[in-house]
Formats: sequence, C-alpha cells, structure tokens
Amino acid sequence: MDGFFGREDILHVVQDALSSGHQSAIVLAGQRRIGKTSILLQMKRRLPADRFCPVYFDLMDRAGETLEQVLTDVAATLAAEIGMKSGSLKGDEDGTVFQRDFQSIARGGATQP
Amino acid sequence: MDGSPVFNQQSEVHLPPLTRQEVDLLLDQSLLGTNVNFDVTKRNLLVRLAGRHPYLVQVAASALFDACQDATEPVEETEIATSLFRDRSNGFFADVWRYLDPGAQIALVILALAEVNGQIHGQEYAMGDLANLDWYTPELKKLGEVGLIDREGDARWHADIGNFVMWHGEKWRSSSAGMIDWILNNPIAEARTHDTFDQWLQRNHFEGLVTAEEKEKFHSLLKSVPEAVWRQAGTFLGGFAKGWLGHLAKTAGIPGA
Repeated sequence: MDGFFGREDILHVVQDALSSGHQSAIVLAGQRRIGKTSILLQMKRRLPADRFCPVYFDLMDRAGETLEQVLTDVAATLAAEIGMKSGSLKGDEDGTVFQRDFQSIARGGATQP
Repeated sequence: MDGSPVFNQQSEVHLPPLTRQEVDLLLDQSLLGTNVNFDVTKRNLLVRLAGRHPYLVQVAASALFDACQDATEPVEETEIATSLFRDRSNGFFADVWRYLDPGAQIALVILALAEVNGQIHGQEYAMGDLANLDWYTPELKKLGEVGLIDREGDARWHADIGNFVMWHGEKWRSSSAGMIDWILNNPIAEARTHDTFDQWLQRNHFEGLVTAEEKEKFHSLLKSVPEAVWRQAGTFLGGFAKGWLGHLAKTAGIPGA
C-alpha cells in the first residue's frame, strides 16, 4: 500500500484531460496541504507507461533563480527520467537551447541533445 | 481564437476536502494492524475538530490515537486529544491565516465570535448585532468559491468554505472547531490586549474594510464574550473537551455524522 486513497474521481478527470490530446495544461487548485502533490505523485505511478512519461518537477521557491538555472534543472530531471545524459545549458538565457533539445523530446520527436 | 496555441487549452481541477466516506476509509486504513479502533463517537469528534481537510484529519487522528494510549477514561481521552490537536495544528492554521486576504480574515473572526457567543448562551450560534448584516457574505462566498463547495450530506447544513465553514441558509459557520479555537486564541485574543480596537483593526489591515456602523457592531460582538471565557486556558477546545461543545456534532447535522 502506498498510503494514497480516495480521490478516484479527480484522478479520472486528470487522466481524461491528459488523454484528450487537446489540452496542454491542467491547473490543479486547492487549499494548502489538501493533497495536490499527492495527486501528482499518484498520477506518475498510474499513467500507462507506454503512452506517458510523467516527470515531477517542483518549481516551489525558484522565483529568485534565473531561467537558465531552472531550465538546466528541468533538463537534468527530464534526462534522468528517460535515461539520457544532460549537458549544461550555460548561456541559454532565453531558453532556445532547451526548446530545441528537450521540447522536441516531450513532443515525441527524435532529436538527441 | 480558433487555432491559437494558447487559448482554451487548459482546464482547472479543484481539489475539495475529503468526503466523510473518505475520512472513514483513511481512518480504517491507518488503524489497520493496531489494537486501536475509533468508534462513531470518536470519529464525529475528530471530524468536528478537523473538518474534512486531509492534513487536519491526519493530525486529529494522530492526536486521538496517542490519547487512546495515554488516557484511562473517556473524558481524559478527549481532553488529551484536543490538547494534542491544538499543539500540532497551530502552525497549519497560522499558515492558512497568513494567506487569506483581510476581508476573508474578518469574516472568519466574526464567525468565530458568533460560534463562541452562541456556546456561551447555550445556542449553536449567536451573531449579536451583526445578525442582520450581510456585509461579510461576499467574503464568505469568495472563500467558498476556492472550489470547495460541498453539496453532499443532508439538506440542512452544507459544508465548506475552504474546508472550514458550514452554512445554513445565509448562516455560515466553521466546520473545524480547531480553526475557531485558533482564531479565538490568536487574532481575537490580540484584539483584547491591544490598546484600542482601532489599533487592532489597523494592524490587521482591517481598517477601511468596515464602515463606522459595522465597526461598532463588530466591537460589541467582541466585547460580548465574557471575561471568564478568556481567563480559561484553552477556551474553545477546552469547552469542547469538557462536553461544553459536545452537543454540536449531534445538533449541527454534520454530513455523515
């Protein structure tokens, strides 16, 4: 048992929205400690691995960081999840390198970093 | 806007508090393999303390579990449980409070006063001079719109408002006795130690949100809480533990209770 229970209706709503292919973002809103992160982590466990590659990345307390730093961390997290090596995004101040290398992977493209 | 990559491409999902069934499931799962069981009375006490917010339910459950180990009689058990719950939920309520806007804070202060005044006078709820004023309703509705409106349970009481409040017709109340207790012991207790009511309003950024008439009625509601209540340590939850509030869970018709 992973300690998660209930919330089946919410999980279905999120899963349906992700499967529809028309939505690029889902906002999961709720009170503090109401269980938003638990839902995300549960989605990561439950989404079918042949169609999804869920990656959890926490943006909390990163408002003070540069885009370059955040993107480097996003890239490293993504790379680790899909078993790739991640290089530095040093100098990628506007996100161009990140977009080229990683967004194409997120969309199912074949570009290798 | 057809074809725009950014329009209408996201949906919003609001995460409500747990249903009573989910609370029971959580308790059943947590207690599995222990020699402790929470009967209906204990579960109703727990829901009255915590509402159905998952974090608070777990805090209340751990408090009740520890109390069951230490107490020798039921009254003592309730007293220990409420006291542990207060200690352990203090930081959470402070955090929730910090992120509410002043209008919502005022609305909750008034609800807490209505609740404690009602208890003192042997009623569920007493708004005093504020009973005919509905100036706080927009704030309460706004809090309810955080996506946590819950229409389950019997038709008499509806639960919610950010998990903590229930309403009946146009009357609202907190669904968590712990929240009321925290508000009484923090912002409201401060109002009594401040030099003037005006200073307290100012410090809490409430000044300007209430008219002169409302301010007067607000102040009179605050003053109507007898001194004796404030002198007792643990006013609200203390009364709760001693059975002072015991009838609440029964009479309030808490969904599923």
